[in-house]
Amino acid sequence: MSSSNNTKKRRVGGDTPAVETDNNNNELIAIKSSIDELVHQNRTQNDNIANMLQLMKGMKDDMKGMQSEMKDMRGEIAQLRKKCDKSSADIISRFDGMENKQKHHDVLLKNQKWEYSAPGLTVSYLDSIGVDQRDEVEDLLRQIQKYTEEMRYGTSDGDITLDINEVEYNEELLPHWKEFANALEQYKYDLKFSPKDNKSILQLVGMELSDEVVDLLSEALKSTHFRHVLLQDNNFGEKGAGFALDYLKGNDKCEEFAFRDNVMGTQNVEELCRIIPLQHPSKC
Amino acid sequence: MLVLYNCKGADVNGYEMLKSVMNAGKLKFVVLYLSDNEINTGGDTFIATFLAKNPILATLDVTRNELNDDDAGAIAIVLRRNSELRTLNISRNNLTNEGWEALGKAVFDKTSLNSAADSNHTCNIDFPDDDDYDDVRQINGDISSDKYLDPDYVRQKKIYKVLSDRNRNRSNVEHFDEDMQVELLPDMLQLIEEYSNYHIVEIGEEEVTPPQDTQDIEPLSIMFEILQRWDKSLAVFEAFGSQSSVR
Repeated sequence: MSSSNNTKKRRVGGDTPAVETDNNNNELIAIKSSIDELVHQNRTQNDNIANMLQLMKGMKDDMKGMQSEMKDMRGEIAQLRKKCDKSSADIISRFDGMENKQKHHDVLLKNQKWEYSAPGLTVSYLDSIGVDQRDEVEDLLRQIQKYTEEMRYGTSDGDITLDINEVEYNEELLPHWKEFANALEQYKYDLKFSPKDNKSILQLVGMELSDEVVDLLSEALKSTHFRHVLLQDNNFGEKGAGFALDYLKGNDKCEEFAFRDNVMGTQNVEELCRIIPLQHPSKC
Repeated sequence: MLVLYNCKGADVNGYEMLKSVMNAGKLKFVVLYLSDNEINTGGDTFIATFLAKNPILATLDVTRNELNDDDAGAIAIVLRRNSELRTLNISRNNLTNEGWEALGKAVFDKTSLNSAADSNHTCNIDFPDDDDYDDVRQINGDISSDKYLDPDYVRQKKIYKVLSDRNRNRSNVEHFDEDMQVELLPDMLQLIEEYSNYHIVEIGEEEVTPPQDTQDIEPLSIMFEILQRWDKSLAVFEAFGSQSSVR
């Protein structure tokens, strides 16, 4: 009885514990459902973020690939530019070579009618010098004529070496030096046209070179650039050294410069030291 | 290449000329001839300082000047650190035996194996023709023919020459460090064998044979000396003997 009463009381009361429980359960279910919804939403968002990250990673990889391609293309462009520069330098060089070859041939054609015309030495001059000196002078003139003709006729092997044992200068030698200097002047096309492994030597050993001869050679050698130059025992003082250094300064092909038994003054040394840094390292 | 041979004018000091030219051309000249220019350093060490910087200079000719033993000594010190200079012509100066010996030590210091290994292996010097310099005259090559040898070959040759020289008076063991472990013995014997073959040089796939010193001692002789005279090597034989008896 008591238990049925109790039941009644609960029912009469309306807000019985059973109803409360149901309500609570419903609330819990609702909350759980909300949480599930939120979790689901969160998962979806996370999936979206992961997808986006994946997408970004893919884009990043694509970017990297594109950057790498760009880098390769830049490298290729640089290489192509280099090739272009090289080809253009090559074309210019070949063109210059052809021009020099043409000029060289023109000079050779012109020189077919040329003859060595410096007069012989006078008897009075030959008598005035000793026998030994006479032999040396005659040897010098033979060498001058030989090299002058070789340069004029295009038969030179690139080695121009005047080598004798001490000849003093005399006015009678000047016409011969003029012939030699003129031949040197037009020999520039031969030197420019000839292959790089050919000889390119100018050696003046043992003869006195007067101021006049130095001026002649200086003018003649302005564009005639030998790779190896030796000036030895020329008794031409500091003016001669100045000529040699001017030649060295203007000659960007010079690989060997030898100055022996000739005087160099302080100014010459200073000038030399100004010139040296201008020379290309590979030429020294 | 720059050649300034006997071209010092009356108002030019040869040494000042050398300094100016070297300073101006330190990154330019591979070959520099400055013979017969009355070059006198007066105790200054410019040439040595220049060479110490290991410039690209491969040939220096300062023959027929007024350089002395102090100059040679200073150059000798820096030569050990210079691997570019291939030819040094310094004869016909005021050098005495002292200067030449210093230069000789620079290219081949026989004091120890380390000093021999650390000598200059690239520079040919125009030593006097005296017998005193036979050992060093062509040690790095032949100056008269501008023939240069591979520095590794020269280094090994020098090391083996020291070992050979010591073997002649049975003194190799005297130079061993007291703390040296007997465990090093196999490596030591192997190295002797290797150094004795210094004249067989492999360049790429090719095997070339530069000249072998006719004064060389056979490697077996050096090995025998070490095994015989090094008291620690006895332990090896004892160990070997005990192993044999166990078997």
